[in-house]
This record gives sequence, C-alpha cells and structure tokens, in this order.
Amino acid sequence: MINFILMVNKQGQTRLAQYFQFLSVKERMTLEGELIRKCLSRSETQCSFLEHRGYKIIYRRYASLYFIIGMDLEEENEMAYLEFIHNLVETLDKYFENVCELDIMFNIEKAHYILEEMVMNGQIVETNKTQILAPIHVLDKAKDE
Amino acid sequence: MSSGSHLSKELHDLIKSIGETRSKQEEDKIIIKEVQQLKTKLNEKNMPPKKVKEMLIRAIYIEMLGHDASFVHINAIHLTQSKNLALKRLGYLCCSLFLDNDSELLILLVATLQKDLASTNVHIVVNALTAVGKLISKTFVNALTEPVLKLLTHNTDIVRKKALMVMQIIRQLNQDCIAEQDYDDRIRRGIQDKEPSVMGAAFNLYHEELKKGAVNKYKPLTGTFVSMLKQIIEHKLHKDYDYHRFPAPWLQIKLLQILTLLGANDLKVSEQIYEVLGSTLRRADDTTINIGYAVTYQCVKCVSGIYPQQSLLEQAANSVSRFLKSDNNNLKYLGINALTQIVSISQKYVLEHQMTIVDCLESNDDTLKKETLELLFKMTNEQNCEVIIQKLIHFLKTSSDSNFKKDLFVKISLLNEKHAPTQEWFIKTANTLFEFGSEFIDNDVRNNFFKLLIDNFNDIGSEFGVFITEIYSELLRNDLQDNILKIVCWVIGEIGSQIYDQDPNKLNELTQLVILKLDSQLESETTISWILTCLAKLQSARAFQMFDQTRAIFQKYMQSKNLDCQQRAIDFYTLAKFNAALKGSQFITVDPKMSFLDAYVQQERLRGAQAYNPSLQVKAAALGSATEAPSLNFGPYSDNKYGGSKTNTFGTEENKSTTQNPSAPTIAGPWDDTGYNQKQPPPPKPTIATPMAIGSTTGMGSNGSGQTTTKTTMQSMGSGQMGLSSNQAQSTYVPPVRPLPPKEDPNLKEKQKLANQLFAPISQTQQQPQSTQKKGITAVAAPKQMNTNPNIPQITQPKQTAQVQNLLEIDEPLPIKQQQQPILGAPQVYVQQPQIITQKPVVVPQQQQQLWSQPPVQTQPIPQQQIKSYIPANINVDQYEQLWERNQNIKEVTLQSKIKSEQDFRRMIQTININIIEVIDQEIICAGANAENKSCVLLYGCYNLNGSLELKINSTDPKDAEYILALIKRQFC
Repeated sequence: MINFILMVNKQGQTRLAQYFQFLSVKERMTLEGELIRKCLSRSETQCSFLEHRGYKIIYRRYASLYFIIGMDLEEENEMAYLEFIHNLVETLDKYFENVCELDIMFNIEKAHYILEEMVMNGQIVETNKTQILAPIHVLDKAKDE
Repeated sequence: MSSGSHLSKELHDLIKSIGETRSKQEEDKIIIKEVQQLKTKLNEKNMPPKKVKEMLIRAIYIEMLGHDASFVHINAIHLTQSKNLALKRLGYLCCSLFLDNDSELLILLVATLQKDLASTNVHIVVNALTAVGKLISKTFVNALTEPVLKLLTHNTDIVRKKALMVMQIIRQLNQDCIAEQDYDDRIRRGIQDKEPSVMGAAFNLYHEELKKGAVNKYKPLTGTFVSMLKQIIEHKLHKDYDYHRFPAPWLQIKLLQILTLLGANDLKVSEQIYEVLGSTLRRADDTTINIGYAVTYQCVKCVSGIYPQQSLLEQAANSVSRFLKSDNNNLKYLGINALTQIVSISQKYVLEHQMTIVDCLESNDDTLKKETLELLFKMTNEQNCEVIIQKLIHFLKTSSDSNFKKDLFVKISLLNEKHAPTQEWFIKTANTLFEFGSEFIDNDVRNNFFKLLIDNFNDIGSEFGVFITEIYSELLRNDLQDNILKIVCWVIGEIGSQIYDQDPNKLNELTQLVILKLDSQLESETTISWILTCLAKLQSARAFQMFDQTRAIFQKYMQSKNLDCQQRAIDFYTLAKFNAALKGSQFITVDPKMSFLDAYVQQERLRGAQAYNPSLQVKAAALGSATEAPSLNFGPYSDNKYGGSKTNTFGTEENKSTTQNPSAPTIAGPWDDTGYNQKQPPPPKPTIATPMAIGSTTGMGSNGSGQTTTKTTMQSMGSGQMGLSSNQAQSTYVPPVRPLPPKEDPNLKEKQKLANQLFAPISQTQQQPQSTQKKGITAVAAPKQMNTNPNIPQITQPKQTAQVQNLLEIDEPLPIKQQQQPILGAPQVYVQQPQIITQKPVVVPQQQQQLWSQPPVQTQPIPQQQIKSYIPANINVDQYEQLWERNQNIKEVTLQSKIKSEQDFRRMIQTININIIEVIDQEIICAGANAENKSCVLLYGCYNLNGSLELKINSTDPKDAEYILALIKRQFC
C-alpha cells in the first residue's frame, strides 16, 4: 500500500503531505528531511526509485517540486506509481490550469481533496480525471452559495 | 488561480512569506510567530465561518512544517458540523490530517459521521465516506459498519465506490463486523457493477483477499477477470479512463496482479489466462510510453508467476530485453527486476544480457546496483558462487548503508552455506564476512556458525579440527573486533582443546595467545567471559595440570565487578581445584565408549534386536552444542580421533558383522587412522544408462517402514534419479575458470571476464535446468563419472553406501570437501555375467570396528573363508527379470522362520545388506552383489503370517546362494 504522498520543493520545504499511516509530527519532519536530501543527491540519469527506512520510494521532479510516494516494500510495480504521480500532476493541472508550486500553496486543501479522491486506504481508487474532479467542483459551487 | 486572491490578506501574506523563506530557520521563525497569533485569535467569539476556515488552513501549515497546533484540533471537529459543504469537508480533512486514529477526540465525530452517512444529500454522504475512510478506528468500527454497508447499493456510483473501500477498511479493523460470505457477496456485486470506477475499486478488495491467501475460493472467478481484462484492452471502457490513449492502465495492472495470484502453480487456471495475457503484453509492448512499460512489466511478472508457458516466456523475455537495452535507468531497473522473476523459471534468459548486468553492477546508481545484486543472488549456483560472493563482499566492504549491509550479510552467509566449494573456502569467506559485517553478528548468527563447525568436525574429524584451529589461532595474532574474538575463543576452546589434548606444547601456545587478548582493548566485558571460558576449556583438556598461569588469571577475575566474569572465574577455579584433587586417582581410566558392553550388544544384535539409531542424539547434541556455546563442556567429548563416531549408524555395523575377515584392514586401506576420509567423495560411481527404477522407488516409498536401511536405500535411489540429470550436464561440464577477484577497472575486457565468470556456468548447465536447481550438499557431491562402455547394461549402485548415506540425513549445510582429496576406492570392476558394476563397499574405518565390534561374539562361528559381504544393487523390475532369466543357479527352499511380517523381512534383507526391488503383498524381490567379485545375487521371498518362508535365490555363483541361505537359517529361523 501507499504509506505517504509528499510534495517537497528543492529547498526541502514541504508543500503537501498526506500520510495513510499515522506518524507523529516529529517523525514526519525527520522522514521528509531525509527523503528530500536523498532525492536531491540523485542525478537526472539515475532511476527514480530507492529504498529508505523500509519504504519503497518513488519520486518525480516537476520544476522545483518533488513528488514523492512511499510504499510498502512488497508493492510490485514502481513504474505504475511513477506514472500515477504524473496522473496526479495532470489532474492538478487540469483543475488549476498550468499548476505551479504557489497554486498548491494557496489552495492546499484542494490539493488534499484531489489526492483523497485518487487514493483511499493507501490504494489507487480513481485515475479517471473527470471522476476525480467532479466532487471537487461540487465543493467549489457549495462555497459560492 | 495562483494569485491567492480568494484568501484574506493575512493568510495570503503568511503563505507568501513561507514561500519566500530560503531556510528552515526563517520558516520556523514565521511559524512560531503564527502559532502565537493563532492562539490569541482563538479566543475571539462568533468568528465568521470564513475566518474559522482560514484559521484551520493556517493550522495545516503549522503542523505540516513540524510544529504543534493541537489547540485548534477541537475547532476542526466543530467545523465538521457546519451546514456548508465546503466547510464540512475542510473540517473532515483537518481531522484526518491532525488526528491519530487512537485520538480520544475522534469519539466526538462518530455521531456527526453517522448522521452524514445517512444524509439524503449525496455530496454530504460522499464527504462523510471519505472521512470515515481516513478516521475510522477499532473503537468505533461497529458504530459505522451498518450505515456504510447500506451505501453499497446507493444509486450514485461514487458512493458505491467509496463504500466498497471503506468496507475493506472495516474488515481490516475487525473481521467479525462482516461475515465472510456476506463480504464475498458484496465484493462480487462490486465487480459486477456497471460503473468501471466501482469495479476498479472492487479489484483492490479482491487483490487483498488473494494476497491473504484465499486463492482457491476465488479461482472460479478467473473467467470473469479474464473477460474484464479483455474488454479493457479492447478499449471497451469510456475514453475518460484512458491515460495517454492507453486504456485504463492501472486497472489492467490490478487485474494482472489478481490473475498472477490465481494462476500460480495451477495449470488449469493458467490456461484460461494465457491468451489474454499474450494480447495484453503485445498491446502494451507496442507502446513507447512509461505506462505501457508499467503494464508490460506487470505482464512479465504474471508470465513468470503463473504456470509457465514457453511461448509467453519467450515473449516476456523479448520485452525484458527491450528494457535492459534502454539507456533509461528506470527501464533498466524494471528489466533487472523482471529478469530476476524470469530467472526463477529458467536461467538461460540471463545469458543474453550478461554485459548489461555487469554494467548495472558497476553502475553509479545504488538502486540499480542493489537490484542487480538481488538478481545475482537468485542466479547463484555452485560454479559461479565464488565470483558472486566476492562481488557481494566487495559491496559489503564499500557500502555505508546499514540496512543494505545487513541484507548483504544475510545473503552472503546463505550463499556461503549453500554453495561454498570447499570447507577451507567456506571458513575463509565466513571470516571475511565477519570481519566486514561484525556489527551483524548476533547470537543466532554465532550459534548457527558454531553448529556448522561442530557438525563438520564431528563428521570429518581431526583434519578439519586442525585446519580450523590453525586458521583461528592465526587470527588471534591480529587485532580483532570483539564479535570475532568471541568466535575465535569458542573455536579454540571447543575444538582446539580436543585436537591437541595430547600435545601440551600446542595447548600451552594456544593458552598464551588467548591470554594476550585479555590485555587488548575490549569493547565489552562479556568478551572477557568468552575468553575465560576458552581458557578453562583449554586447561580442562589436560585435567588442569598446567594451571599455574591460568590460575592467577582466574583469581584476578574472581574480583571482577562484572557478575558474569566473576561467576565464571570462581566456577572454573573451583573446578580446577577439584580436578587437582583427583590427580591422585589417575590410574582409573574411564572408557567413554563403554566397550565392555560390546559383546552384549553384538549378541543381542545377532538375535535380531533393533539397531541403535543415534541420528536423533546427534541432532540433539549438535543443537545443544550450538545453544550452549559459551558454557563449558566437561563431559567426555565424543572422541573425534576415532572418526566422528557419533554420526555413524548401525548401518556401519551391519557391514561389519558380515565383513569380519582378515582382509578387512586392506579393504579399509583408504581410510586412515583418523578416519577423516569418511566424508570424502565416494569412489567413482557407475551410472545407469537405462532409466532408473522409478517404479521400485515409489513402491518402497509407499510402505515407509522407518528402518535405517530401507531409508538409506530409498534415499540412494532417489538421489540416483537426481543424479541422472546432473550426469548429463556433467558430461559436458568443463570446470569453470578459477575466478580472480573482480577488479574495478571498467574496461571491456575486465567486464567480459566478469561476465564469463558469472554466466559461463549457466550456459553450461542451461540445457539441464534441473541440475542447477539442486542445492546444498547433494549438489556439491563429487562429479559422477560416466561409464565409458555404453554397451554394458549398467546398474547403479546406491550413490554411497549405508553409513555415508546416513550422514546425509543429518541436514548438514556444509559442503563436502571435494577438491583436494584423491578419489579413492577400487576401480570399477566388470564381471562377466550378469554385469553389475559396483564399487567397493564402504568399509568402516578400523577404529570404528574397535568401537562397535570387539571380538565378534557369534553363536555359531563360521569358518573364515565362508564369510561374504554383499552390497545392494539398484535395478528395476525389468532388469531384475532379465537377470533372473540369465542366471540358472536357482536355489529354492521353504523354511519355517521367525519372519512373519514385512518388517521382519526387511530386517533380514538389511542384515544381508542387499536391496529390495519391489514389494507385492507378501512377495518381495531383492537384488545385491557380492562385494568381492561383484557377482549378482537375486532373491525372491514370500513370507507368511504363520512363519513359513518361501525363498528362491538366484546367484551367478552358487556359493552365494548357499551362504545367504545359511545366514538366514542361522539368524531368522
């Protein structure tokens, strides 16, 4: 299962963090710090997968933002999750139109909602962008009322 | 949207300032200030909803950036009760981000959740389900089960989808909430849902159940899953599910994972999968996008996970080639992983990619390197293990990642135990491993290693003992880490003291070396305990006669502040004192072998008493020696100078009782006094050209009487069968080039060389994949020689005769020393007719004879020249019949005997030491050969419950028949 999904920028600042298994604030900070250091230390040509603290880590960089997924070691298809990250980014892009780091910062709750629609109980439940965004649009309307 | 114009200025500025910080310290400063502001704000009354919302978003930032915002948690819970959908959702989101599943605050949410789940507003229900999915915990799972299950039939698809996922969580939390049958029914309805989203969610539930092992239950659904996959790859789903024009890739992957589990080891199910798997792979392979590769990779995993099919394997291997040939490391990573999967089915696919694999091994990408090591681990066999272990040790030396090192340590020890070519190599590798992975040596590792050593020492005897004592006493001269020093102390104390118990000088030398270590820098005081124990063991070898120097040491440590050291020192000191007191009574010699009982034992054996089977004791002893490693063994040691007597069974004695003749010493020629040759590879073994007697093996297997000889024979026949495949492999076998230590020079020649070392053995054995699958001790046995004369009907001998076979029963992980020792035993002898090629019976070493058969007490002494010995012949029923036809010296008798059951009969056959070919009711046929001239003996027997025994003995030499008959009459009538 997916244990966590993070968005961390090149400066090591967390922009979004969703955990599917509870970790205390302190544990999260340490883990995120270690992970971004590891990701930053890797070159473009090296592969996007690594193991850290008993997690299988899959990461992908978009401009200055790293998307990082941590999974159980027995999870089998790294490439599928690497593409899942891209699907997430495309979904964010579809919603925010030309998504950038600031979009996520100013609308952090929306980014969370989108993730919540895509992943439940650490498993991928939805990859169809129309289906993912439908409930978010409903919320946007509700706010306007 | 990125302007953030929808936010208040306060929040906007906060986020902006966080975004502009360039260091953690700056960020912390902002957040600490923010926490204070927020705390004061909280006191404001009647805050407008928008303010509450922003306050919570600020709290999200505070917690995300590593600070505590627990003071707003209660506000998040309040917000979930809001009538505004957006605020409610934010409330739930904050709860799931802030609260641990054990949080007491969660109980406050249950009523709200229950109410929302039952709402008529579908959006509220969706929000509530999302929240339940994140927040539900064991304490209130019961309260929410009912409302969630109701939603499984809701008319909105998103509700059904989420309800399914929540149902999965409920079952994970508490199995009893939903009955198994009910659960099955509900997920089945899930995959039948007309909405692909709901169906896709249900796949997750099936996959989880299958992973938990409920495979058989869902096998009937294979057809359903297959047709779903077929529909997906044929673009039958709405194009919204496409990703880069690839139809529903994540659903394809999930289905493939499900099918892999369903089809594993099941030809019937796999046959349903082959077709759709082939087309899924083809379609995915046609793409050049990442997601296509992901599906291809999953297909390869499925191909190697289900019952193998040749054409699919080829197809999969082709896809893997594409991955490996790519320049992209992600694809290489997939390729290496996929290859690791395929290697478990057939090693031949590795060959094509040897250079790529070597490249990956030298890669600067640690992840890739690790996966490649995993592949190497999976493809290790006897021939390439030296190179691979060296490679792994190299990584152990250079890596700094302790998880990785631990993994390497475990892998290397496994490979070393399984495949080490010689004992010397084994010990040296183990020492290197300990040196570079000393932090991973724990009690389990140590005890396991000690057990291996002591088992080998017991089996092989003093040669091995001298060898390891030398190695370890040499080590003592260096600076050692504590963990290694402990091992050295144990070896010197336990084995050195036994080896040199007659050599005071050597003992003294060892003692001096060990004493020096007390003055060296030690990491912990427990090491001192190990050293003291070692000293005590060394001294006890000579009954504490040379105690003077050691006494002072014990006296010193009797004052130690460490309780364990102190206790040991006192114990050893006291023991030594008692021993000194006993010195006066040295003339009492203890006979640990209790040879005074031999006459009695012999007598009882002749009367047909059961043979003593010490194998159980040996196991117990071996275990004991491992678990009680640090304790002192003052009991009489099994006297290994006499050839590892412990592991010899009465199989040995059988032989002897019939081989007691003056020529025994010459037969025992190859066995030296120390008896160490016992574990040498057996003499060149003849092999069969005709297929093995499978029928007879199974025939015997079905009536598994627990007798030693029977087991031995079965085993030998079994291994004979296995031997057949490896023989063929070995006929083309070229000994691998002794590997050189791999060099880091990345030039092509070096890589090529490494590749050759790694893969040459696979190319040699790939025609016979089975032979590489044989692992462990059987695989290391001496290469069998093919018979040079193909025209002679060849009959296999059991691979090894009784006592050696029985040693194999003890699960002994150390390989037999095979290389430096000369092959012993008489050359193959061809006898006229029928031609049975045999080996000399393995005769007990002389010492053994002293041990078990003191002056043979025989009720009716037989004239010397009449004593004959026999050996079993492994032939099948057809061969038996052919031989029977050819021989006309048939002796027929009906006797009144003590034999009334098959077990009795087997005992008789065991006594003669020939081999049972087949048992049909009360009729049994057996075959053997005269150990001296190899002439053939066939025996047919039919026993009756009343004791009447009908025998037909057909032998090339009529004397054999007479002899056997006499033997039977004497002992069994």
